[in-house]
Amino acid sequence: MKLARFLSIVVVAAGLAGCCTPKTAFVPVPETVFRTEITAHDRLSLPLTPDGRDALLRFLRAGGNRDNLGDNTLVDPTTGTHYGPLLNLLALEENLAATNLTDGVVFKRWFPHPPVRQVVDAREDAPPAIQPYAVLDDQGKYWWIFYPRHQQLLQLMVIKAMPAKMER
Amino acid sequence: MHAQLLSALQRIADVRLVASLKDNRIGYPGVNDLRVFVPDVHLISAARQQQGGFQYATNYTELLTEVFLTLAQLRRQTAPGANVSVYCIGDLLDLWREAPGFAAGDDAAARIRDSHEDLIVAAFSRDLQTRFLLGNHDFNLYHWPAYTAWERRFYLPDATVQQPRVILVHGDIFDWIESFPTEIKQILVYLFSPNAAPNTYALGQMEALTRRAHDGRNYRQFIQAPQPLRLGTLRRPGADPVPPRWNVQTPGASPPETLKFLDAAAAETAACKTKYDLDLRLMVIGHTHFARIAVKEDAGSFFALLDCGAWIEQCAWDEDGQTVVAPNAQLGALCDNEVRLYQLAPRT
Repeated sequence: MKLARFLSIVVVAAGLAGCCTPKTAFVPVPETVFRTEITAHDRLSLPLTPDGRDALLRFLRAGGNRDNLGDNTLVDPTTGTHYGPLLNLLALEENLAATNLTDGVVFKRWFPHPPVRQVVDAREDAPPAIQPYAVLDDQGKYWWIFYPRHQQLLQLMVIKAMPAKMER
Repeated sequence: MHAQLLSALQRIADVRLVASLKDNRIGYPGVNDLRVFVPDVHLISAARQQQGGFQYATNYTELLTEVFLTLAQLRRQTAPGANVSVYCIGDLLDLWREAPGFAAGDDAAARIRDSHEDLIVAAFSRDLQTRFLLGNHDFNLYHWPAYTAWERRFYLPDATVQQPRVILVHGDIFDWIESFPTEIKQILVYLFSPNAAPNTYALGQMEALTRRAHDGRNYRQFIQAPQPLRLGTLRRPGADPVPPRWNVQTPGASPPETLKFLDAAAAETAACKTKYDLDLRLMVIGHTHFARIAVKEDAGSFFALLDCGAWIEQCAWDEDGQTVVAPNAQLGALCDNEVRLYQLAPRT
C-alpha cells in the first residue's frame, strides 16, 4: 500500500520512446501554502535550531497548509509523536552527511525510499548546480527536500506531497 | 576579443596555440561577439574512478574550474554591446563509465556532479549561462527535467544577415554515418534541419544508436585515444601576433587522421544548403578528442571543421625539436571570422 502510494505520488515523466526508456521521477515544488518557506531566503537551516524546529512542527501540525497557521487550525495535532525524533536527529550536525539519505540507516525509519535528485522549482532562475535530495516520508505526506553543499545537508524545505492523479 | 580571452587565460594557465584560422569566408564577422567552446570533460565520480579501474581521468579539474570562473569574470567585465558565450559541446558527464551496462539513471549523473562540486558550480554558474550539448556519453540526460536545456545542436548566426553560419554538434553523428548508414537518415534531419525538432520517438532512436555505438566497451584503457593524439607543432602566443593561419589541416597536405570527419561534415553542410537553404561555413565538434582545425576549400566553396579536443586522455606536439606529451586540456574560440584552439596546462 505504501509503495503504491509512493508510486502514485511521485510524478512520473518519461521519454515515452519504448519499453526500455527509463522512467523518470521528479518532484515539483508546489504553491506557497504547501511549503515551509515563502522564498529560499527563509529556508530552514540545518542543523535544525529550536526556532526552526517549532516552525516545522507547526507546519506539519497544520497538515502542510500555511493557511492553517494563521488561526491555529490543526490537521495532525499529534504529528510530533511521529516526526519529533526525526527533528531531533536533524538538530545534530553529526547526522547531516548526505550519505545518510542515500545509504545510511539514520533516517531509514522516516525515509524508506531512495532520494529523487530532480526537483523542479519554478522560482529558480535555472536548475540548481548542486541537485537537492528529495525524499518522501514513510507516511507519504511530505517531500523533505534537503539542499547539500560538499555532501553535507545544509538546508531543508518540506512540502506537502500531492498525488499525481486525483481519484474521483 | 580573442586578445582579451587569451590574456585572461594566460593569467591562470600556461597557454599554447594549437591552431588558428582567420578567414572572412567563415561568415562570423562580429568583432564584439566571442564564443568559447569547452569540449569533452568526461567526468565520473571519484568513487567510480577508483572502483572502475580506469587508467586515466579527467585532466586538470582545478584548472578547468578556474577556466569557468575566469570566463564568468570575462563576461562580467564585457563592455556594453559585447558578448561572451560559453558552450560545453557534449560529454561533460560520462554516464557510460559511471554506470556500466548502460544502466545510468539520474542518480549516476547526480553522483558525478556531487563528486566535482566546485567544477560543477563554476560551470553551471548563472553568471556564465553556459549552454550544453548532449554528447554520446551523456545522451540519457535528455530524460530528466534538470537537463531540459541541453540540446543536440546550436546554430550561431552571422548577426549582420541573421543567417546561421556556424553549427555546433557533439560530433558522434559522424561515427554513426560510418557504422549505421541506413538508420541515420532521419536523425541527420533532426540534427541539421532548422525546421525539425526531434520528438521523444526520434530521441529514443538516437539513444538506441548511441547504445549500439557504445557496444559494451568498458573504456578502462581509453575512450578515443589509445595513444597520445599528435597535434603537430604548437606555439606559445606571446609578443608576436597570432598568425591568421596556423597548423590548419588540409586534404593532400596533412596526415589523414587529422582530417577525420572533414569530408562527412563538409558533405552534411553542403546538403544543408541544398535542403534547407542553410549556408553553414564552420562546424564545431568535440567527440574525437583530437584538437584540430581542418579546412576543405576550393575556388567556389569553403568549409572549416573546428574539433575542440578534450579534457581527458593525452595529446602530443612538437616543440623546440622535441615531442611533448601532455594531458588534453583544450578550448576553442570564435570571434571576428577567426577560430583559435588553445592547449592549457597549470602554470608552472
